[in-house]
Amino acid sequence: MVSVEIGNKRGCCVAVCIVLTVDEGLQAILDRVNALQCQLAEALVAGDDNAAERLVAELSVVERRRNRLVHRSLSDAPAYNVTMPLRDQVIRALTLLGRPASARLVADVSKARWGEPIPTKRLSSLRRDEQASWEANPGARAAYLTAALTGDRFAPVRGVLALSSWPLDVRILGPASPRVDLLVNLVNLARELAAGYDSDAAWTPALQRLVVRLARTVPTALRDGISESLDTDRIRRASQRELEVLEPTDSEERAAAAKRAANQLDVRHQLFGVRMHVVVGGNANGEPG
Amino acid sequence: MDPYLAYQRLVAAETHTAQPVASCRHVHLSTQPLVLCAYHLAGDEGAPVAFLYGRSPDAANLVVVGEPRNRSLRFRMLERLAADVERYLGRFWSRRAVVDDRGRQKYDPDGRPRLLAIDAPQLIVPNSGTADWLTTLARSTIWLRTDGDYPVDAVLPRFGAHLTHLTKRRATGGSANIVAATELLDLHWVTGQTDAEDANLATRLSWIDPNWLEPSWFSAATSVRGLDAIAAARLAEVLPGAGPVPDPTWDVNELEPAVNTYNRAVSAGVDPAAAVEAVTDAAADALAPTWAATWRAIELSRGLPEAASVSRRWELDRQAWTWHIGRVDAERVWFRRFRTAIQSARLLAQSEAAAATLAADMAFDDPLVMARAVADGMAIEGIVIERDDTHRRPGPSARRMVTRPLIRLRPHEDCLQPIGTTLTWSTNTGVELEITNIADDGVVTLTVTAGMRSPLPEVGDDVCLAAFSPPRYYPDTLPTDVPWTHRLPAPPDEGVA
Amino acid sequence: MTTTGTGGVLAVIRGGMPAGALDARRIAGTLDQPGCARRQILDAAAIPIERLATLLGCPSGQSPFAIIRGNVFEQRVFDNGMAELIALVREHLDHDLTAVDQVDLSCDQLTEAYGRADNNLRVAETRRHLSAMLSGDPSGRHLLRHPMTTLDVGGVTAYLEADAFSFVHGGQLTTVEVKSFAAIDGVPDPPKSAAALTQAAVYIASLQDTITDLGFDPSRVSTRVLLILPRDFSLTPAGFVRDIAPTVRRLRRRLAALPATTALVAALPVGLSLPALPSKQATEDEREHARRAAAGTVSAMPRRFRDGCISCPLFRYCRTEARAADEVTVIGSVGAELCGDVGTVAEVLSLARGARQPTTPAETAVAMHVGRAAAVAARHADPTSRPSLSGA
Repeated sequence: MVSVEIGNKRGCCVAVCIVLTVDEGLQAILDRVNALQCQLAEALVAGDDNAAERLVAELSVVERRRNRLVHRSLSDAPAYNVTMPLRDQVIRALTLLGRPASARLVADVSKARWGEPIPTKRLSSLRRDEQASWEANPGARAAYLTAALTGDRFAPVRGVLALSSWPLDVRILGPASPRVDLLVNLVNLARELAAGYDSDAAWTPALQRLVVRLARTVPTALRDGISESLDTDRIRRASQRELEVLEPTDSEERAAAAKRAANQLDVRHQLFGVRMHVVVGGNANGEPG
Repeated sequence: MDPYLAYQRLVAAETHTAQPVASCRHVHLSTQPLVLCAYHLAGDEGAPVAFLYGRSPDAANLVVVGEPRNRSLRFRMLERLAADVERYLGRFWSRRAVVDDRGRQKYDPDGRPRLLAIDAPQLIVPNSGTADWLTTLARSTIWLRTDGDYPVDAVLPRFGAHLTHLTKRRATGGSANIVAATELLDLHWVTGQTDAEDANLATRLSWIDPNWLEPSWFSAATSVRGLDAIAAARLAEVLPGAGPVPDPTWDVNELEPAVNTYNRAVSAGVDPAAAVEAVTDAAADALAPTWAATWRAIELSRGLPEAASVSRRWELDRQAWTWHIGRVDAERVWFRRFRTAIQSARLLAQSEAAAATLAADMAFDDPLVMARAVADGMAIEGIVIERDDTHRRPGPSARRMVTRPLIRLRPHEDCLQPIGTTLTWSTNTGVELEITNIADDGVVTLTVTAGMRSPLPEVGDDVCLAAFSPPRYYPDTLPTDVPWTHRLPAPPDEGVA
Repeated sequence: MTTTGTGGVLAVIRGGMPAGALDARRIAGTLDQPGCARRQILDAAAIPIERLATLLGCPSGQSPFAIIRGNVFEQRVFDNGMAELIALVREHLDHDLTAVDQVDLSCDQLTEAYGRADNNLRVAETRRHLSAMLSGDPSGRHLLRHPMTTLDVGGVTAYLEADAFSFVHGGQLTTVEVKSFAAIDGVPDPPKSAAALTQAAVYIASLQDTITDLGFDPSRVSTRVLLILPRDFSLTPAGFVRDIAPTVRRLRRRLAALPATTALVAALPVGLSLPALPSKQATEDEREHARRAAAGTVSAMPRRFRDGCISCPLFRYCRTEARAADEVTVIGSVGAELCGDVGTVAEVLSLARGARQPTTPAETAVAMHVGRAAAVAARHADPTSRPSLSGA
């Protein structure tokens, strides 16, 4: 351990610095910060406002750099102390949901049911990594994260995740599919919540809040009064009633789209979708000229 | 459109100085007000950021929250504010008995002795935006629960109840429980900038007192003394906003980084009390000029003598406060969540009546305010050139002749009121006169129709006669039936505390 | 897109500046700043007005907190298959259970699908869906998310992105507007909802024109708006239906009264052009040079300074100009209303005080009205009645 004391000059600050063995880069930054602080004190005493302003600005930049270096040197632990890799968390949440779901919903489920926050910003790069991983070694894993696909042009639907292990007519969305899938997700979450009530699990309050938020959009799913726990049967019945109305048409449309996709697309595009690139001079309908 | 105020604005623009439009103070100013400056997050009235408050310019308390979107932190901050405000309000709990002329105790209709609070609280905020926001703050705290998902200390719903009472008083007009500094200045001075710019307390103040700026708020090279209004206002314009919504540039440059620093620090394990310093510094710096401006506005207004009817209006505030603290003591404080149709109609009628009352009071209290009415044609000023106390004319029944003194007046400006209008003498409001003739040369003939036995204007006097009168009594002419303008197809829901 | 000649001149005027969007907020603002040639030309030339304002020394900008909250709330409304929106249209517009077919026409989604998403593509896609919906095609949707339509503003085409359109067969196209200011106790904040509804009027007018162009009757566009706001102090969405037919009419009248931008531009000196915005690394000199060039161009465009100008990013710039010219409007719209054609403060005051005799009818009116006020004021002017400034 080395003890360094920066002496007390006229108007200068006294800084006692206990320095462990650190790497050169970090030491140099620490010295620079100290030097700037002394210069700042001198400028203030001398009444040199211009210099003082400049030094304050410089200090804030150098201090930011110092903070970053310190963080890096402190530990190699990743930002999130997770027990499970991100992709597995997402797969776990999607499996529970059972149908294509928005990144936001996946993150909310992961947080509510397992207490693991998922940074949604990282999900788009995760999707790209998954595609790259599949292309490098197709089928090496049981399931890959993909995006759901649009029913008309089989383009990826931004922000909606799916599992490659799901059949094509689940991963392809028709006009009513977003609503249908949300209802199916809700049924599955309500079932999980019921299991949580039975086992008195610690996560039930958090999952309950999420289920309430979704169930509010389904007619008759919730009772008017506020009660301790939800009637999950009621939620499931209400969702099923709406599904009865919507699902037949939706399944048909999805099946037809899946058939078209299977005929037109290779496996890679069936999994990850088609992104049209419109050339310059295309007509207003977006088709290549 | 008011030509008198427009003219005064033009003069102010020409002279680079604010013009006085009142010679006395028309708002009650407490000897112990509570000044309150505040910020809430842009776009989110339910997310306060900081409060700077206190009873004297040198004793400011600041409470802030490190992450304004975090409900628990928000409630902890509001609890501290609420405790301090409750302590302030507790100073106004003393009541004394109301007695008649012979010193006997008066009683309320329900048989209880009538009391009146010796004094009532006064909150002074920088601008009407903040005053209006207090209504939202009241609403966001009054229904909070002391149990459930986000329990709060009971001081918060109590604070909400007090604030609801005070903000309701403000809504009825003529009240001084909550006063905005911009309104204080607006009543007494006119600037040479636009109405919209006047909403900015700092620039408006600069027109009235260009020397109010503190050098420490600006860079060393900037001189803040010896400036005219325009130069001072230009400097004042760059000061941080007076709230309740902060400047977007301050949000980007100061608040957002401070909140991010707080969040990062707290997730890294730093003690929140230390981590909040970033926000504290930013908020203190931003609200300091507004704090100073509010106190300066109060000081300038205190320099004016109090108008005669101010204490009468303040007594109404004290009466309402007495009623409120009576309910608090009896733990019977509750307010409807939604106004019924008839309550809305009453409120509208009340505030319209209060506004008219205030305008009339101010004119009769203050010749400079009456001058506006003269310029508008709602009053005339002139020299009495003739008075005939023996003049007679047909009485109301048209069968007898009655004595009605006649007065001829040469007005300074043309009389714009038609023949038949009843005017009130400003010096003695018991005297009323009716215009019976306006000659081609402008001379106005009037007959006295009320107050004949009291002293009347003498020949040679320069008098002022107004086409409106001060409020004499307060009958309850407020609607008991719902006026058609307020009828709804179905009654709205009501929530009760 | 634009009239060739005007389009060319407007592009020259835009000069080195990037193209900003003429959105519904700015068009609604024409109701605030009516008759201002300066704003109309800058808007038509798609100048990013906030950045121009910053260059000219006027502070401008939006709070990041407000932006974040707006985005979070909008996401809440549209997420999960538009679940919250579906619940609200069912509640407020009586849509039945089957009206859930949706399509996302946002820039992000179209880019995902097509690799690009310029305005023309978005307009084309929107028109395709609107045609299908209105002609009863089974592929017609019920909810369009972030559709894009056009509107002619003074002869220049504006591209407008609404939050959503909703539709059921046999019904009308309804505009949905999502905002993040609160509705407390069931009452949307009055001034803010008035502004939001004015913006909605822009979308309605644009939608009416678009479907007319597609061959459908514009009465198939409802003048009712579904306004979606956070309820009380949470982010739970609540819906409010308002019929704004009068606002749409007022907007159309205002738009019709706009002088053709062509004419305004033709009256400008030739060769006006805005400089490029200085980069972050620009020197003081470069910044000053750009500022001067921008000021020269902007000042050549006639302004109309009024009370409503305070909401314009260029407010301070125009006010400084008005003050330098001693314009009567420095005291606000009341100055213009009272003094009409009599232009400067000095002129008005000399007429009012009788120092100068009026020569025109306008001057006579001013001398009369303001003169009366001046005479009364003079009578009451008393140095001892001026409030003393204690502690100055």
